[in-house]
Amino acid sequence: MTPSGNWRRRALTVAAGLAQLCDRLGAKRLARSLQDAIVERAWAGLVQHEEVADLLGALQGRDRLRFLHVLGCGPCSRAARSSLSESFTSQIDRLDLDGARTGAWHLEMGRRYMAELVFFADQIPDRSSAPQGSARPSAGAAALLVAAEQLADPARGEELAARALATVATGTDLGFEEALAQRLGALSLLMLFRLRQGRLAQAETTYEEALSALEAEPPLSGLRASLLAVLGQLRWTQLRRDEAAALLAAAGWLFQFVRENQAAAACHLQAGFALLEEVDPARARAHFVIGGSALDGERAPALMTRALYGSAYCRAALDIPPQAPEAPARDRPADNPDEDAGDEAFRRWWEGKISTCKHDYHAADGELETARRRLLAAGSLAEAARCSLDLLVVRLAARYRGSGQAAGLGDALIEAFGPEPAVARCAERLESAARLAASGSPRLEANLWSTRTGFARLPPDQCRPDLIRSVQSLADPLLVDALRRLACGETTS
Amino acid sequence: MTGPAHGDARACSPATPGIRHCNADSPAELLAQAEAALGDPARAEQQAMAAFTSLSHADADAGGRNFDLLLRAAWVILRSRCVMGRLSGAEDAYQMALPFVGAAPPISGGRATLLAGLARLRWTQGRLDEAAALSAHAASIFGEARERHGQAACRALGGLLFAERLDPSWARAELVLAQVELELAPALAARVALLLAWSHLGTGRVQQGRESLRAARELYDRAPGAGEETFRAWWEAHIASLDGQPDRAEEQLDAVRRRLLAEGSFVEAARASLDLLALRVEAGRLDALSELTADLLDTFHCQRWALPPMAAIHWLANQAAQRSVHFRLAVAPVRHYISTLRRSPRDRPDLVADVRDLADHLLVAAHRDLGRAAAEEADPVEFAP
Repeated sequence: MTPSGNWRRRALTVAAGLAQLCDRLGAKRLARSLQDAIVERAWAGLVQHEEVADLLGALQGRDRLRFLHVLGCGPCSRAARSSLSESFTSQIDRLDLDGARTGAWHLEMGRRYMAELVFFADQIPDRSSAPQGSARPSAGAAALLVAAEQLADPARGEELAARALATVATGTDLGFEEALAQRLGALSLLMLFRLRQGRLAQAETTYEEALSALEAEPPLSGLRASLLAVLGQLRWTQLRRDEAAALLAAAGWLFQFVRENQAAAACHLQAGFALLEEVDPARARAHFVIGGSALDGERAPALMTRALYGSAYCRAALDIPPQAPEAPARDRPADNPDEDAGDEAFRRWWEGKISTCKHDYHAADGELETARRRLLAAGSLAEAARCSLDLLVVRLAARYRGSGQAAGLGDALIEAFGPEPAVARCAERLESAARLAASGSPRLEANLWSTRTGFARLPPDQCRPDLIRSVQSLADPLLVDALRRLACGETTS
Repeated sequence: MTGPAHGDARACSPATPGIRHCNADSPAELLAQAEAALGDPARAEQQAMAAFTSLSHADADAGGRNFDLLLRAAWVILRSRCVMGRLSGAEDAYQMALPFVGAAPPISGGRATLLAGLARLRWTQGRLDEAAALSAHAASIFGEARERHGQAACRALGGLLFAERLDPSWARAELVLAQVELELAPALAARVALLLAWSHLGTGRVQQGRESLRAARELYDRAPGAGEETFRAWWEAHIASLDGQPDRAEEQLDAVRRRLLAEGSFVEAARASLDLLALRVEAGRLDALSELTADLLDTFHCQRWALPPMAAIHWLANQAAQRSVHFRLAVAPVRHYISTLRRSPRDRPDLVADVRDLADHLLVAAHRDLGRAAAEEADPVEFAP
């Protein structure tokens, strides 16, 4: 063999050099360098077997195996060995480089990489193994069911969902498929509760955590739909409505495939409203029709009301004559004791929007004014600002026809909420639009668009919560209900 | 139409008959150049960025059409960064366009194209569910806009995405709607026909599957090339397996795998090895599993970036041979991991062209047609004096 000239000139034995390097670089880094170097064929003829033995003495655990892997594993070291001298190769062969352990190292590395790809890879059972589990719900399922009860208290729900996730991860009473279902269920719930608390980045991270588990789930699965539905809600909250509509629609189709019809309806209706916010009534209508026809109105009356109004709005916007089944429930008295104040305000608001589409500005003004006063009285700034903007648009349209009063809507906000900065900004935007309209400015349309976007970003806060329950929160019970069945095998709804 | 940007767009659109008032530095011209330079992503990105910057400062026009151009520019930037492997940069391009999405018309080519670009990004990131949902959404917008090339591109992408996930029922649902024009994208048309055959067979429609296969074979001559041949041999092997010819399938797949190994493209070779592994496990040929990983280890020995997936396949083959793993459950994450593997600069490029690149050319054709339609709508036909 021909040792490297450099090393010889310094009169160092390879072993001493390696020992020095080992001191300087640390065993792990040295092993990695050696591996690279051998792969690069730069170490040809450098190492003698005694030095290898010395080096192996210095390397511990995984580093030692990694080095053995390079020298001892047939396929991997072939190129490296081919560049070594024959005598050195024969010396290596005489060393007991523990081929079995090297092969085992390959397998161990494979197992570790698999564990990174899919959680507890070791538990993926053989297809011939008997199904595991028992008639009693497992600890993970029980924890998950408790968490699913907490829709009204998302902070508590998050805590319980995290606990359920930990229980599933450490549970030994489950087969792989059950564990997978419960893990996905727990992650869906965790994501939902984080979203409801406005912790959007954490909700996104939770989805990313679920991705590896999703790979082992069949393509057409209800739990996949659950995660997509919550991801759709997250995108909607981020005002990325196109993505929201796409994801909610995909979740709806998947739920339909697994015959979770109520959850499917909830997803389609949400997709419809997301598209309406994007001013796309043509495509929104299809989702309202699908969702509205599948939804059980007895189970989700408020959501059904929204479906009917959404559908009626689309028809009005597209100038399609109303049909009896799609018309909103106008016969319901305003003081219906079963209807809460939020539902009533919603009805008024959407009646106003529908009248606007029909160019019946007088009726629209009346409905929107009523809704706005309720929202002002209820102390919901975000909703009052949005409703005021809709009313402003109606009054501008009406004024072009010779009547109506656009100014003063901003002042009403300040009167109701006080002159704090957030309120003042909203008021200023409304008044500014009114001024632009009065002066006939061509910038009016762009101003209205940016104001609408700005108001859409207004979050409800603890002091001034929304009066009208969002479509998302109305859909949640149906989604969680499906989740219980899909993740825990619950048979009752 | 008040914005100067759109005026330029209309005049300089590559397919607009009678180009007038063409300004070489106008945003629309820059965008047209960027779209024509998709093969050189760095240049396309640079030109599209210039167009985007210019358009984002232009006044809004009444129809929001310059917003539409702006979203197309954002698509070119996003797409170019995806191709160059700068995925976080691609995400930034999407974020950059988001404030303008709300202002663009709901049914517009720009919006649909940007969503198709986002689908591409999500696919590259391995977020296949999102990619599929976005592709379907983009196809539906193109459909509403009555733009067939864009719709076909998005449906084809969706179908091929589901096929990659080996989900024939959803692949079929998308592929039957993908009416790819043969003259415009022959390779994509042949792939769609071939995968439609696979999806028919995968959902039990044997006769339709065989007919589709015959139809696909008639298209092969229209799109020759080593990459296309390999793709076809690969999927014909899948089809043979579904059509009750496991030996032929195995032989064909092994030939594909050897060709890819010889080519030195790790990702494709590893995927073909996994497919063959699955075929052998299904046929109960557990004795022949280890040679597949030995071949891989032999060809890509000690390349550190290739070690994790190789070790994972090795583990999988070992466990499958001992019948100690549920193969179907275990193979899916490995397959997914390999298909989304970020390539090392030392890996050879894929032999088989990326279907997303094939579809992108259709999207550009869609822009051209939409540009022409917008111009015709805005300008009444002028008769020669």
